[in-house]
Amino acid sequence: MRSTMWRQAALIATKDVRVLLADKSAIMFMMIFPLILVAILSTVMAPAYTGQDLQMEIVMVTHEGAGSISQGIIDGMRETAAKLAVVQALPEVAHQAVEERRLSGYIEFPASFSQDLLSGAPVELFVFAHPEAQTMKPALESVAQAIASEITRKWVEAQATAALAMRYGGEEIHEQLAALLAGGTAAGSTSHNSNVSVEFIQVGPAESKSVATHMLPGYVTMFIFFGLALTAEVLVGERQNQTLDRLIASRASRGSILLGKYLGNVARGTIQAIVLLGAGYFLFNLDLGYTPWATFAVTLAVVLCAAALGLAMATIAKTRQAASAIAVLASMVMAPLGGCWWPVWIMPFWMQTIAKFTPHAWANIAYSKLLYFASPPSAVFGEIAVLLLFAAGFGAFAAAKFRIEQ
Amino acid sequence: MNRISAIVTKELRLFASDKQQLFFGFLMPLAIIAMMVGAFGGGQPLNITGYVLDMDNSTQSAALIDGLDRIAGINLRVLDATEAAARLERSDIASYLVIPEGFAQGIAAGDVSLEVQRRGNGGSDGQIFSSFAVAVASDLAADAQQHRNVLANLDALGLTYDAAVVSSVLDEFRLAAADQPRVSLVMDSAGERGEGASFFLPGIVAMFALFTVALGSENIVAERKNGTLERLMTTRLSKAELLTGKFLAFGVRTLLQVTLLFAIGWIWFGLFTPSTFAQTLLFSVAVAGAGAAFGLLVSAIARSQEQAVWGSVIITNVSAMLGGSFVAIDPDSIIGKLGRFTLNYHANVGYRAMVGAGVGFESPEVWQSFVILLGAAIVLLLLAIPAFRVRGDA
Repeated sequence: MRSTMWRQAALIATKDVRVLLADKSAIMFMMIFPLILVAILSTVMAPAYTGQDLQMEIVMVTHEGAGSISQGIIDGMRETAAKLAVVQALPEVAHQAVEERRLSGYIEFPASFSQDLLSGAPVELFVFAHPEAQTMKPALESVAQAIASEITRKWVEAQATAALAMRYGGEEIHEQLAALLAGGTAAGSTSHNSNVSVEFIQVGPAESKSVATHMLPGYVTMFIFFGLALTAEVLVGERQNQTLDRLIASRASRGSILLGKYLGNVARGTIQAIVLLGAGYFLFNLDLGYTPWATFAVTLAVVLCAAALGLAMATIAKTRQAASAIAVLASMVMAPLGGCWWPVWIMPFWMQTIAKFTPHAWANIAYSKLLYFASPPSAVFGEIAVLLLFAAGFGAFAAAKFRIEQ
Repeated sequence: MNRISAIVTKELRLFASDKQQLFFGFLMPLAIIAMMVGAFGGGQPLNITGYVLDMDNSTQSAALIDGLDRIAGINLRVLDATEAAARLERSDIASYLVIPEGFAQGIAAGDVSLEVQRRGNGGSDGQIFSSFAVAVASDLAADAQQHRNVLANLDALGLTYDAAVVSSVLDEFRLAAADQPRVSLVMDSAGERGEGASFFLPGIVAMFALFTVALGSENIVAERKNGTLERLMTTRLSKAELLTGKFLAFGVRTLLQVTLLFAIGWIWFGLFTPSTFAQTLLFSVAVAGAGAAFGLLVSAIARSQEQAVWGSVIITNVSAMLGGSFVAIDPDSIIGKLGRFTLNYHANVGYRAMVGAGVGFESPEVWQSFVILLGAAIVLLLLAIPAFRVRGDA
């Protein structure tokens, strides 16, 4: 009885795989389209994925000329700022570049900067950034804040020195004090000198990775889930046109149909994963990590989970259109939420918490550990277990709700 | 004219009753806009969790931790040595900051060192966190340096002083400077209004407007395949009237779609004024015209419904990527130059100028894009008309 069920399930699964291989549009969507996307995005996003330590380029502009305090600050930072590449640009060129989105932003010293500083008038320092400059905006703000703090600190130093000198030395110290402050502690003599060093201690190897290594795993996850979610539409179609009824009439059991459909989904997902990872490896220099078998294990868990999700969706939808809509909507919401489109840390904390309820997030965490952080296979056992739990949950839901009749 | 309007009415009725088209036309773009704005909008540019191991346990190390904790967007977790090492070993975390023993002495001496334990490059969030740690530590070191400088100044003047009084006076000035800093920062930006939505809404609306209309070409292919178009030709309807009707139907439904999505954007994000909304709709006439012509061309070329669907999906998605719908692209790069040949690019340029910068047709970006889209509509129509067949592909 049990062997009959497995035999029937295997026949159904084989038929589904044969249908997939003959379906040009399915192959286009599941395998070729993701690779086209990765090819384009790899080119577009290449500068953001160097894999090296961040080297921020800070653009500074001044409306003052040579010999001014602002020019002195810029020159000082160009020579001494650690981990920053300070570049000076003409104000109008930088402004135009930000408006055209060629530049994320810059720090601007106004024309009255030196005069205001020396006369004691309020001084302003401008940060001009594009509103969507997610990383550069806070970076510019922190550099500008550091400059402002340094100037304020020098000013406080001069003020405190003067007050204390008058307190302990009286009026007769006035000339000496003026000479001392003019000689180096005055507010205008600032320059940014960091005396803080950071030592990086590496745990495990560190190598820069190809752009595809940063992008492809997320897209593999997304398109496996997307492709298998769309099988819900096919299954609902088979229920609508009584194909499932006919299978029952030919002595196939409900269990063998369900198992066969699940195995068919697993086989389709596995073929898709092999094609995508294989193309990534040979065409886009995808790094499969230090333990490729662990990467494959994660991928298999993703496939098992996505295959069960496809079945679960088929049990919810009543029509093909509804199945297709549910599949597309769920896939397109879970993928970005789970970190397939962007790193999760740019999302608010509440979205990061919700992301944990998507299998995509666990898959992406596991891929990150194996591919970027050179973690041992044992580091992803937890993520694999969660993916399998998701698979069991979706599978149990599908088994409970699966209907043969329309 | 009646025959053309009859075709337009029939097509619009079909569109309104087609749940799938309505889903792709309205619900999907709204869901994606919500995701994009949730992720990128709201003004908080980063939301990272930073991990710290404090080996110094001094007032200064506590001040460093406090300084990091006060930075918006950083969720700070202080770990003990065993937990930190175990979590890094298990790869639960990619990096953590170590405040080493002697940190306080380092601050006092003006020579501070920090340590970062990490896997790989520690992740970009880990790198950002360590740069914040350097900034806060630099501040602490600079405060200590400031104290030493004042003492050195008093020494240079040959004065005898009470160290406690010096600290107290310095603190007074520091407090005054904290209330009224010598230099204040002014944050300014290009096209601030609407934050993330001003970038994503136009890109996604343009993408789905073109996508839905291209997807609608599948219906024309189906009508050709099942002989409907051929039967229509046996009536008094001419091919020109048929094409005009289909073109107008595509254009009108795109316009309806764009109007509704931008209206929701107006209510949701407050992106428009009545004037910019009206001008955006006028601009949308060119987008709808170009989209409709593109839909007709796809229906003319496609031999099967599958080809129409996949042609639409691939062309519109690739155009959206090249045209900068989701990410800003350097216009001087190869991708940026290729992007100029897409309808999405010009639609995005015009829409973003109006939505983001609040300008209208007086801006060259808007009217130039408008003219280019109208030109593209004419070229696409000129390609579609001779290629359009009413029979075949059975």
